[in-house]
Amino acid sequence: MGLLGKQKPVYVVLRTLVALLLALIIGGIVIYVAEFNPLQAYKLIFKGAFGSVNAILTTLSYATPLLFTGLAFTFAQRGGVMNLGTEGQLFVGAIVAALIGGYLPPLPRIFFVPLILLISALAAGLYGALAACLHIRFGANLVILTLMCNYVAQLFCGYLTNGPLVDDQGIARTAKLPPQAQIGKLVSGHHLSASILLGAALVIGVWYLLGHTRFGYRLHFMGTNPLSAETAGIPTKKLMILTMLLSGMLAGLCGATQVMGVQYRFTDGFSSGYGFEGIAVSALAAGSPVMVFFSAVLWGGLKSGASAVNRIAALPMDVISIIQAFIVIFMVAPELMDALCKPIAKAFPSHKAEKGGADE
Amino acid sequence: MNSVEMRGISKNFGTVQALNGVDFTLQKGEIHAVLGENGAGKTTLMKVLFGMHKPDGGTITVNGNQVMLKDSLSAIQCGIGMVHQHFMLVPVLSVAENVVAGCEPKKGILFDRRQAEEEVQALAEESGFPIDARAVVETLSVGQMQRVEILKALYRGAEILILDEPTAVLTPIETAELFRALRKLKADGKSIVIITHKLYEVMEIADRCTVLQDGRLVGTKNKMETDMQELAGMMVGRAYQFEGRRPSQDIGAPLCEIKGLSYRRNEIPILQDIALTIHRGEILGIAGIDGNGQTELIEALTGLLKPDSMELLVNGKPVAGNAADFLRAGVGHVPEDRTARGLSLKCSVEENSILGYEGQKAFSRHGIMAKQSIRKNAERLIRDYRIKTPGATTLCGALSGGNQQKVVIARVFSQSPEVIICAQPTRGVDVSASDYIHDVMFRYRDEGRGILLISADLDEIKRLSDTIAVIYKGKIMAVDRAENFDDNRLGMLMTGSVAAQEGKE
Repeated sequence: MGLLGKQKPVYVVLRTLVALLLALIIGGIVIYVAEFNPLQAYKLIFKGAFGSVNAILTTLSYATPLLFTGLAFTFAQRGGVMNLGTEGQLFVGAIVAALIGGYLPPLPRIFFVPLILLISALAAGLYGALAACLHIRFGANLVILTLMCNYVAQLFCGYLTNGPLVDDQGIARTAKLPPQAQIGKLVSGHHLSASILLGAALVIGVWYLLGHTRFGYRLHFMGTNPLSAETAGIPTKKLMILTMLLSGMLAGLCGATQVMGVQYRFTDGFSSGYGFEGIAVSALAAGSPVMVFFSAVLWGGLKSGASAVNRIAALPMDVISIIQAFIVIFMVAPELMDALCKPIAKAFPSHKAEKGGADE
Repeated sequence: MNSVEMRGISKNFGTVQALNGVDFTLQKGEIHAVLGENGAGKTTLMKVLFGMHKPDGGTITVNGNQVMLKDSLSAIQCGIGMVHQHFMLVPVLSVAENVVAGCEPKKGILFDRRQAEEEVQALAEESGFPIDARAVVETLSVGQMQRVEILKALYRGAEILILDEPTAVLTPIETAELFRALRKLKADGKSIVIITHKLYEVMEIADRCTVLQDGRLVGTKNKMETDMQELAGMMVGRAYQFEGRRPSQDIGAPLCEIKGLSYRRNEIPILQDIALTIHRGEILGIAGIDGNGQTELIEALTGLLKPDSMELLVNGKPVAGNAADFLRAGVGHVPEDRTARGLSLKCSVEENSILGYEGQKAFSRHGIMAKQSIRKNAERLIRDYRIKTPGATTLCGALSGGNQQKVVIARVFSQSPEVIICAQPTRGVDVSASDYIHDVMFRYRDEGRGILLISADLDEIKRLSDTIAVIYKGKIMAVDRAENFDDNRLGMLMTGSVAAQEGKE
């Protein structure tokens, strides 16, 4: 039974906070064992993440790529589709953006930027849809397919940048994008790209699409009970391909915006695993596109806070990875969290009034 | 002396009180029926007696000794056996192997198959369940499998036998055989409990009857001192008026014609040249034992399965395509398994109440859902069809089975399709909800529309249908007015034993 759905939003937020707290406690123990002062470390992390305008902007720049991949995974998951191929899809988006932007004669910026975004997103979407088609046509397992598609995309991009496109200094990267193909900075004096605005708009767009359109309605049934959707005449196969197309497009925009707004070229290894981090962000957001925004910012905050601490103290970045891992572990175990939250949950007595299957 | 005395038994599942201070006594050598609606606690009470549930309160005495039943093994040691609704047999093993599994006769350290077969064969004959001990279980009929289950309990020395809804899966003839065997066991001094919700069975076989409602004991009656009316009243907690048949007053022109419907799967014929006509103002019931092609028939008639050949006319117009096309052509569908195909339990009542009709103008325009009118529609259905739910946004998974089914019924019937393929409309639904659903069906028919009723519950078929068609191995064995069938003829047709004489009509 849907654990999240039948509970009050207050309770869900509460549970998320408890998960966070628990992860911080465990992280604190690790920090202590590594012979640092946990409270001091957390203070520095927080200051590094949200302590100043500059810190917040850095946090947002870390959050931007996760916004796209988090949305991509959340969107597919609503339709019951496990898109583990966001990493590969964002590589496709990135390389296509880098190729069009870096090697074709530029158009005026106002046309060129949207055009590149659209084409690279479509390319990534088609790459995602290909996996769905193979799944439907040949019955291949979609999880394995999408996972393997990651390698194909990543290694192919690696071949391109190390082989035919290698630059004259022998560095594995594509040509620099001309200004007409670049996405500007959000504010002057900081490297935060304006593409976060696109991400925020997509959050609202996906929220509307899932919650208020016929497409979202059908997707919800396909995701919760595909047989009921099929019985109601919903073309589930087409819907699944469309879902992978759109999810892949969202992931592709992650790659394209990183190329056009941050790196200005495709460099091998530009992604620190944004696709997989997006899955964690999506898990933390518990299926809600709006929550993806906050969850991505939190994730970005942990990363930027950690790198700030790393600059002044010898605290290893790995500690942050441990904390992130525990947050996800606690979040994806709602029953564990329910048990832990029981004493607090009694303050919200009405949410457990459902009948259990007592007889027959 | 009483074989079993249960006093003040209580059992909670989470916050739900499944049993509340229930008393139950079983006398030696009696057949005792435990009666109640779905969810009344009958199975729970018997699972407590069989050691599968630990009671939260109360005492159990077996043959005068107070016992603590910590699991079903200790219940078996006390001489209690239980036959569950869902059989627990290994299909690839023989009858004898299934019966002795767990306490096999041994020759040294090896399994002594011959002795097992002899013992089981002897047991089967003396207890009145004739069966071939060497037969492989998967080749048996459902009724025979049930015998194997009973033999399993007897082989372990059960003096007290609990049967959970034993007739639910049987044909009338098999039921009669079972009852005969049970009377023989009773004559041998065994005590038998039958869990059921069928009143006429109680009157036929039981000596005494205990009625439960909402986990409470309503009372225990001697059969001689009560009647079906009283028992039904005890079950639902109010004076209960039996609903009889309500034959159609006005069967009109053909509404839906099915011709030449055939379907083979892996070269095995599943449906063979089926031809049926549903008229206006008619409920056409398909009688048959589960697994004789009913599921495929439903799926073919709702566009979910593409048969090898079929001509379907609704109002003279041919219908073809996928499930959406069938819905649009006015063929409504109440799926046989509401949780598999009918609903998504993780979606709300209002979302489920338009499933399949979400493309209609009232519910969405240009791809945007009309949330307000969807809410209004759901609230109207909740009112009109008396769906018990905290609200329109409650998840269907939080409703009882009966109310989930009402959501499906409300959705389909409120859209006024020409003809409704109505499969197992009251499976797992309690008496009052199922009466209500039958009422809805009768009213719909009386408006001049047609219903194809597919149900494993023969009583439901007999009560609702104006015309009955019997299906056996994917063939229609006979089509006739409902009043021209009696149990005997139905049973013979359902088991294919009169195919030759009656043929097709």
